[in-house]
Amino acid sequence: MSTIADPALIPLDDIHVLEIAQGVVGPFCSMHLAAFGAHVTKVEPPWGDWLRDIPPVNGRTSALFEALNRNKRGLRLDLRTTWARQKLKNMISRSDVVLVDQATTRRWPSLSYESSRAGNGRLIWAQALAYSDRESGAKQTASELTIQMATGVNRHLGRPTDGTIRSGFDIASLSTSMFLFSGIMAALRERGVSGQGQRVAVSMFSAMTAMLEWNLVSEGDPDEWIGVQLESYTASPALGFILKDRVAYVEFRGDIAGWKQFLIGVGRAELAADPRFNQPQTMIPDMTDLKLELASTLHDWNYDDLYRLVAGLGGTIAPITPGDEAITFAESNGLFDENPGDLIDQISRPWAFSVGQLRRSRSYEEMDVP
Amino acid sequence: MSRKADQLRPRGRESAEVSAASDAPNATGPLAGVRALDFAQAAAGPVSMMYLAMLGADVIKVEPPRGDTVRLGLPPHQGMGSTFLGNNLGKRGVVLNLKEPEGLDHAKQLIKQADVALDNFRSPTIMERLGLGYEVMRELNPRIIYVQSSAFGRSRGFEGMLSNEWVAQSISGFAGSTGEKNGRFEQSRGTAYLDWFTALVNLQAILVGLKHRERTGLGMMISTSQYAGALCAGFTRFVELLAGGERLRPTGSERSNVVPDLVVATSDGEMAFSAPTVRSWNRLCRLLRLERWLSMSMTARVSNRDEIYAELRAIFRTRTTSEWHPLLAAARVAHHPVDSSHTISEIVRSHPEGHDLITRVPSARGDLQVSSPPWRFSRTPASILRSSPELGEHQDEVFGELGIHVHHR
Repeated sequence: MSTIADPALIPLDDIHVLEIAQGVVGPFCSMHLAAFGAHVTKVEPPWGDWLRDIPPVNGRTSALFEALNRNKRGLRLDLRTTWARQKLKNMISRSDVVLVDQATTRRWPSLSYESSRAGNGRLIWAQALAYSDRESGAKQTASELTIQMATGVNRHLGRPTDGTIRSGFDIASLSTSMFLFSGIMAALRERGVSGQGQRVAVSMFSAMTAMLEWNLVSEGDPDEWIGVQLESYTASPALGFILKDRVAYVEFRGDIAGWKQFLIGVGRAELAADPRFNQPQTMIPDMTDLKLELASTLHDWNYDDLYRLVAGLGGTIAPITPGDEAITFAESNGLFDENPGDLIDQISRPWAFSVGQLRRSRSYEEMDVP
Repeated sequence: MSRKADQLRPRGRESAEVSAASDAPNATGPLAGVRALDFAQAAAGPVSMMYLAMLGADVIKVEPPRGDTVRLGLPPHQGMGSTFLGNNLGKRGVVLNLKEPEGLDHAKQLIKQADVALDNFRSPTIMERLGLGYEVMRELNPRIIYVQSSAFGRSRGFEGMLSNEWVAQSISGFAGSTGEKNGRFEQSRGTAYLDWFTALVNLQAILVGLKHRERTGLGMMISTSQYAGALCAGFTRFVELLAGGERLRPTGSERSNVVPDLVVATSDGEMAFSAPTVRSWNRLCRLLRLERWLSMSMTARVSNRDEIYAELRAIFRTRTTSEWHPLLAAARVAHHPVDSSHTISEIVRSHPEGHDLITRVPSARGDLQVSSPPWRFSRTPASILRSSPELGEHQDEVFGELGIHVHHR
């Protein structure tokens, strides 16, 4: 999409969203709604969204807060006052979507779908939860880390005997946001048919469990207890091959001929003839024995030479990129070339549409309350 | 907000789709009436279409005669790759050989009737070479929303290469930000977070595309890639990095910019807990008799990380995990015990709120254990209407609806 704005061509220009949520989960969801042109108004308590205090802080406010709330406008309301509650009620009655999180509904139980739909039957009430909205679950708070542990993410990280490791990406929070986004969009589509709003809720626990579908279906009742999703928790971490200048992941999935040519190309023709290493099922990442065999050979290669060999044979090679370098590597390889906007836009917009337009991104704009 | 529903109701061809979909069994989800074609294999593409089906769309999976590659994936479940069985719930299945004129023609008949089509061939050009590129699709059906979910998009040097979960973890910085504190980075070995995240990106794009079409009447092509999807999954880390935060490297169970947020040893196990807000931090301080640290700002907590963590570790070692649980719960501090000896389904089910997150779907190959649809809609519930299709299972049914008799399967 280009960034020259004609309202009729902005996908969500007709959608008004009220966000009464803090932290990451709710704001990441509405950041995407705003990216597609929805008009998002954020309501903060007088003391501000707690994320404002999370470093790194540029100037007065957290960089994360600024990024997650770009393209939104906001105001602070002290909901302990009758005036503020009335103002919020008016805002809700004019909204297409109200986005709340569990901290909001726990602190202000009267802020509910049931109380809001009376004044606005077309309202989509979107709710981010921790574990569930049952009475027992609504009392439990959660964080990215605790949801990772509640779903056994640690099971597939680290050596079995070492300390507990988390996923470096906030996979539970951001997937919850993405599920909630799709729930909101699906409800809007349905509203276009029925004329009616509804409530849609997604918990971090349910979203992260869904992200582990591959494991759940495999664990169910397998013919044999085999496959990386069942076995790998007892294995050492997959670390790729250490080359002269980089660490690389190499794969020839399903392509036995290419794989054998690769082994010959790196000077290990004898491995290509070894039945342990020339079967399709040995060409997966946790091939520990093969790794040991190849490690010393590949240590003498540099990435560019190995890339030419692997790419020439139709295989896949990718650097195991240090977190610091992932964005610059993507940028230098042209991943973002066709996308407008700054780096934060480019990371958060992993799609390109052949039609439609987006507005140029702008900073969070805090409005004064009269 | 005051517009009448019938003004927004899809007109013309789409109203026929709505009535066609009312024949589908119990389509209760909000996308009832949407017809989608899944030309994809493995995970990132098919999973997005599975979610579309859970949301009520009529999704037809189009497989080549040899079938989706993950039908052969490990482990098998009654002879069929469990990966396939878990990635294609709710779809109907047909077989078409797109390299033969008849198969291509039948694909075009399906495209004429579809709202959405998606493929995840590794290169953006493969559908074009098959004679089913976006130009062809648009000619057949100007309103179609076509998603090309490639491996690396048009990224130089990678175009046309295969991607998968491990490639995505490698190149995106997922592995590079995961591992022992100050240790070597590593992959998550037995999970598919980035396949799934890319599927959520595809789902997002499709739903925005449908909404946009509702306003403009225009179909469109949407390009996504697993590479871009994987980077999006690291959004929060990359924002911190770009803002001059600490180096993005493995941090064990901790995070560089939030204190406390870690796993500590108890007297008999491990406990994860987080107190990112000043309020939760103060409740934790009172619980642990650390009043001297009350109201300490996050910046100050991060600066004093070593001292704070040493003290917290010493305190947590004095009680068992099950003794800490009610104390932390009463203080409303997010926490969870760490369990690395059970399967993921056992871990999820053992949580009091986890019992309904995993469900069983009957299939020709016995019951399947799958995750429940994660959305709770008050009026149009998402559901899993059927198990994943056997190869070509709905050939006669799907083409019968189009009035086409198909010979081979």
